Amino acid sequence: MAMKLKYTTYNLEAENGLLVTRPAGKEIKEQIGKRLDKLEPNTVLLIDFSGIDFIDASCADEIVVRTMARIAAGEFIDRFVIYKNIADQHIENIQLALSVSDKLIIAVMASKWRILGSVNKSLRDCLIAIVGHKEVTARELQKLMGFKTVNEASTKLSKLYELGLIAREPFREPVRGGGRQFRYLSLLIGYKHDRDEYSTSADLI
Amino acid sequence: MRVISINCNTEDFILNKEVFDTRIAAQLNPLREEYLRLGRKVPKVDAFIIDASLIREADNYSCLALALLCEQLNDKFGPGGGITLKILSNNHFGHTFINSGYYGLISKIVDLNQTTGPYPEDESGSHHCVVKRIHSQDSIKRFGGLIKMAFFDYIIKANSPMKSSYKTYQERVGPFLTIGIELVQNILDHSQQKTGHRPFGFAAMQLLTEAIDIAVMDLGIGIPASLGQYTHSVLESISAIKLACQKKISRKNDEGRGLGLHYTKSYVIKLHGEMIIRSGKGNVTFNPSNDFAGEEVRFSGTAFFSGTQINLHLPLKKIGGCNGDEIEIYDL
Repeated sequence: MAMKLKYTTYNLEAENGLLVTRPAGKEIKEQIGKRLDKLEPNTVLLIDFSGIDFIDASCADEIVVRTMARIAAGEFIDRFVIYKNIADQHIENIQLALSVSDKLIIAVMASKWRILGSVNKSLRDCLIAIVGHKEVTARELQKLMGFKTVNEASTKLSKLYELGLIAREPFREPVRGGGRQFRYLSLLIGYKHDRDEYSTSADLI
Repeated sequence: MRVISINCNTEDFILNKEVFDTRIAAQLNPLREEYLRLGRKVPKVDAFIIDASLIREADNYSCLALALLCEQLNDKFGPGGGITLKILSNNHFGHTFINSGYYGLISKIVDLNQTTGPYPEDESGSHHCVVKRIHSQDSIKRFGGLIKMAFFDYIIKANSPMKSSYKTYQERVGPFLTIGIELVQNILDHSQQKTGHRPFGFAAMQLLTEAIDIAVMDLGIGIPASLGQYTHSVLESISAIKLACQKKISRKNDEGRGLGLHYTKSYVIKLHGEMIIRSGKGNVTFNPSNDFAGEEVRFSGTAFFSGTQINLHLPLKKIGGCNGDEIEIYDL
């Protein structure tokens, strides 16, 4: 049976809904780090912004950019982060903070998702394809994206995995010629958006 | 005229999952049955009134469920006169719901708080200036809270003409909060004191009829000294101020720093406002112009005065967009 990702939520909270100042962001970043440290492998932490009215660029830098930097540095192997309920009022300052780093994040709201941050188009397109197909091997991605070689697909997949944007499991079938193959999974593969969580309310009428 | 009221009030003034799933769900049973029976042929409702006027606290579930309810009412029984939500704006629930992404689904907010906010108008029609001492992280948050409250009170309650310029409450207040918070943060982050005392400063805000003025000041060592320029010539002061408004210029080296003044300036120009910075012996004014760089810079020398003072004049009427690049959205 294919590997399943587990999901758990961290709700951001702030007085008056204002998440501002760098020290406040640092404190939350540390809490997120402790939480990530305790998670089992192949778990996705959903950082929920629904309690936040406004986040400034300093907090966004600490909570978003530096958290993703720690993941990319290998501090939390096979633990992942998705940002949930990032609304329009959050996006501008989060994009601002991401614009000076090479970090990307996946943001979900209701039944939609988007990529925030800037990265080359090829990597972005790969990520979109993986989310669309839910899981791929390097060979499958090569065919999807029309890459000339499997190596090109492998490199993209490794990069996305390093950035903490996709998960991976060793491929269970033997590989011709030996070697190791991985199956890469979208972080959204098992994610259920709010309508399912609040199914009672969704069926009110 | 078909008007349906839904009462969300509770005796303990708290709205939570249990209340939502039992009492409010029970009120919706007749509507559910009607829709099951008639589907899209169900008679439209002229107006929904959702009364949460006594609620002071609500959990995240209830806020989201309330928003989803509005969406469904609008989808299945509307559009009629829209959905009126009665709340008390000056409590946590009022703030939380108003500032949620689903605010746009509510046609009309009836705020039963009956206050005029902390900004009574004077005879000229302008609101009084509010000045706050900035000395701690909490004071920064309070100043941000003031900006938020002022916008809510002034723009939404007073039915300001500005209301029609923006789609959502967040779009209105977001840029101004960003600017205000960034400026006051700089007081604590960057205003070193010669005497070694903890940094402090003052922030002021005044809502005018169609603009907002924000001013901050500190008595630190000033921008030129902060960037390593310890002489007090006019030209060097002006260069230092202009340099400080560029990206990634900060006396602190870590990544992610040095963006505050740069983005404040960018926002001010997008909003077609004006920013004046006085520090050292220099005074620099940024405002938009028709030249290719999109900004006009004027500068002059001043007598030396400790610290940095920044004045912003920001029109409230939306001119162009403040949002960044379009972000593609995908379906799950």
